[in-house]
Amino acid sequence: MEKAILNKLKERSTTVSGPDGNPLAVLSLSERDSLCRYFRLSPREVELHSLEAGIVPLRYLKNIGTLSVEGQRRLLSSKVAVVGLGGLGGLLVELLARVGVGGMLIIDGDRFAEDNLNRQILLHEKGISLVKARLAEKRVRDINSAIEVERWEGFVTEKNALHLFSSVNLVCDALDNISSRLLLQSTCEQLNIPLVHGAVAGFSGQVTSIFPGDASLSIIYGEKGIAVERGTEVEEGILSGAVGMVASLQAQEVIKILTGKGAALQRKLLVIDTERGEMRYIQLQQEEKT
Amino acid sequence: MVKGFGAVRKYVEEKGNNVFEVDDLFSVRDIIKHLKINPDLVALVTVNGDRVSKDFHPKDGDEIFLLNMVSGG
Repeated sequence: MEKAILNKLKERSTTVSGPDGNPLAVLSLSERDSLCRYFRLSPREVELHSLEAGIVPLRYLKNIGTLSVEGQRRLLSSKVAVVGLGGLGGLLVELLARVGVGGMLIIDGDRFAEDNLNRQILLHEKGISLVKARLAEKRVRDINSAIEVERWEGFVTEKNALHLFSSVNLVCDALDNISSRLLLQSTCEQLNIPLVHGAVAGFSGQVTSIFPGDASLSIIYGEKGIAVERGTEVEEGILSGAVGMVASLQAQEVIKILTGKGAALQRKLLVIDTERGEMRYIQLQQEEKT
Repeated sequence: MVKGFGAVRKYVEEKGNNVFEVDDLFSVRDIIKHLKINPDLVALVTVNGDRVSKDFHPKDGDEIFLLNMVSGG
């Protein structure tokens, strides 16, 4: 880092009591923006310089006790794709923007429909028929101007998948059909990047993190040529609380994987049924008994 | 004992026969058929916590868990 930037960061930072009770240097949004203009840097670049100098952008202060300054820097320097911007994806982009995942590729070829209102947080009554990816991009920018967000108003296909995800560190599966989910898995496998899977129906939902070689979705849904394209959500519908629960768990998986904190739900499917308050883990690594 | 998860539970509980005797020829697939559940909507099956194929033959006293196929977003 240039010395001039470091000196300015130190000059513009203030000191607060950190999570461990010791003094911690922080940088306010207005000082960040002032430094962006001064050095002609993007907000993300200034925030990354700041974190490298041990100065925490004030907006992330409440993350630091759990994630550490280095963990926050890793999040901010990462790029994540969110595929599907309906119930799960809409909330995921919100949560990832707030926690400070610095790069986002958001993908959906659909427009909002009226029956999305019950569970899709990006949609308000005046948003019906608007393009999902555009509202998602606006939401991310409104929440966190440091996030560098790219949108793709289309669907993931076998033709475009490798190219679309070539620059991301991780993909979030927030889709609504099984064949596209399996395509994401094979693409992530080829690109050697993790995939965080979530799915919902009625009161219930499931989450797992898939690393290259795991092929967990093939265990859950079967290989290509599966008999069904959708699950019991066709008859059950989807409740907003189930969406919130699963998207939140996916966000936590993303944070853990990118920062190296905790233990991801690898080769382990977490299933939750809030109708009876039940949850359990299904191990996915071993061969099934016959 | 058979336990159904999510949308599959009602098939198990509606019939009131989530506990029934099985003989050696009775596979998980037979149980799913007996309960009139569309087998395509059962994603995974565990017996006493271990993932099994639908051809697995449970024994008396086993807990058979049927996970519904979920793919909503």
